[in-house]
Amino acid sequence: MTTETRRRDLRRRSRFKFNWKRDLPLWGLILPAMIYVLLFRYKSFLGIQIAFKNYRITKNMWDCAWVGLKNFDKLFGNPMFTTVLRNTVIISLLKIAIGFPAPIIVALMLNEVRSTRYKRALQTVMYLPHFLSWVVVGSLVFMFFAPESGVLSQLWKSITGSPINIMMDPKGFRWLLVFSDIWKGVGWGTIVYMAALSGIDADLYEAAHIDGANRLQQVWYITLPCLMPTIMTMLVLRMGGILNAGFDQIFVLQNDLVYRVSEVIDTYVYRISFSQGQYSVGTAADLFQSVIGLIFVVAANKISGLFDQEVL
Amino acid sequence: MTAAATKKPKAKRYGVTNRMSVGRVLIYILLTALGFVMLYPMWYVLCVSFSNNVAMAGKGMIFWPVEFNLDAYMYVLSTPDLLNIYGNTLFVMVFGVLLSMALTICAAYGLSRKPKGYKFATYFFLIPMLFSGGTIPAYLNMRSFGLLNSLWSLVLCAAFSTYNCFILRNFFASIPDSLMEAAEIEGAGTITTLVRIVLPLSMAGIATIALFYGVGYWNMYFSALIYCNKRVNWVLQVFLKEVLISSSADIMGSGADSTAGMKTSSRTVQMAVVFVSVVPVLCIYPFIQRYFVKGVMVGAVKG
Repeated sequence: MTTETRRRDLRRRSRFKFNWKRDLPLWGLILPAMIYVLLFRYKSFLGIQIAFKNYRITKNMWDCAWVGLKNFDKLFGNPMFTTVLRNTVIISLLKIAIGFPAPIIVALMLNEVRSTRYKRALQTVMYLPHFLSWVVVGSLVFMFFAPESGVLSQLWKSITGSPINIMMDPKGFRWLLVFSDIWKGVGWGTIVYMAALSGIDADLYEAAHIDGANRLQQVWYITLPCLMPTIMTMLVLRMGGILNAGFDQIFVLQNDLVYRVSEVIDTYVYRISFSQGQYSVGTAADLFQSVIGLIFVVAANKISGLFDQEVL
Repeated sequence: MTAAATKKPKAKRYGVTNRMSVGRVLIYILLTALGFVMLYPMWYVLCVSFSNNVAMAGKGMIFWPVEFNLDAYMYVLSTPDLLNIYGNTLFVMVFGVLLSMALTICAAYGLSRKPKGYKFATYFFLIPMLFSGGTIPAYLNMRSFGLLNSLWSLVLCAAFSTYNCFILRNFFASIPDSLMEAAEIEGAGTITTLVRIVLPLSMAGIATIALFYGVGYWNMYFSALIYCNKRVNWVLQVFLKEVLISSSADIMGSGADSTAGMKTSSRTVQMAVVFVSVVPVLCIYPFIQRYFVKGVMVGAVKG
């Protein structure tokens, strides 16, 4: 037996036993975070019970009476919830359909920029919106799209002669949500693809070049297939959040005129709970969203085997 | 010298030809346009905040401030509440980042060294990420600790992110084991190894995660809305939203308008508030940017 195999053997054997001297301090380091998660995540699961109770904010939740599935009946019986659910799915599918390919395309274009300095400058500028809050981005949107005073609204009026009011137009508002989302996230989204692009073997391009492939063919036959695993991973992660259309964005941009096309589960929960005091029904909606989200994540995980390979 | 001889080294260096084709020119134009679309709104905000409100409405403004002046900033900075609100936000960010970095670094390092049974901890952290109780249960939980309307609720509601922890764990795991084993053979304890060996080698990852937490706390809106909606506890984002929607009410509470013609509803004042609220992010971001590309790449891609 060589020293190397003996060492490996030793290491393998030590993995089965709790090594007090080595493992205890490490667990000591993990423990504070576990206590935090226990207190602020797991303990909050206890509050889910009010979805099945008749809860009043003035009372202790343990003292309220059980009502079975009455809150869910109330939730699903409300025609508004159907609208809310449909809005959520439509807005998030639109965001995926347009917002998902956008960073891939931008990353491919950035990859063609040969001047490192210019590329870096572009990246710096494009990442920046990611670090602005939705309240700030919302104020930019107001600035440009507000009906009378907005810069783009005025421009549109001076060109076409007819006023435009996208912020209050039920047809246009969802597109406003989609494109402001893209504006904020497209640059940041390129990071992971830029990383994958930098990992592609340059020999492949050279071979393709010798075989007479032009740049477009190289992108189609080399770059895209090499990016495929990353693209699929990102898509799966994105599908998992299908019922999260984004509270901050919608809450900031929303107004009464577009309420019916833009109210999503997150904003609905906030409204019926904190404005109308129906905490139990709000929690029922919350729970519904969490369960559907979990189903999507687990299904996506099954399809890709993602968590086995990358996260765990 | 023939044409082929001059071309060849270039082709070899890039693996492709490097001439400016029509397509590439088009890409440059598109990307430059995109960069402009990203930057212009922020520049515009800055210009509006330095403009004269009345003159701007008359002439319109495209690229430079109209009748440059600092009135809007004078007005905003004289708001009695602003200092308090800035202080609140700073408090939440500073304590939030300190606490979350302490929790995250320790947990990430512990996990990266894979003690016996570490998988249990991994799942323990992962489950709340996949399934959350929702807004109201979290709110009730915060209430059960008596933290509502205290800034600590904002510090505590986001003090640990499993996602950030896993990125940092992957970053730590990319450090060769032999370095840490060597240190431990020399007699260094777990903490010493972490502080003396691992942390200095992971500054890129740590700076990245600290930036993520910091920006998260600074931009926190929803949590602030539900946990801390009393005026004394307002943070910047909540204040900003109030300023933006207030059309007539004087939300800044400075009583009689000190500067003639200045109102909270005036565009210049609103944009001055926007700018004041993004200044810290704009200041920190360029310094950490060079780290986070590297940090995110190692943490997220190498897995």
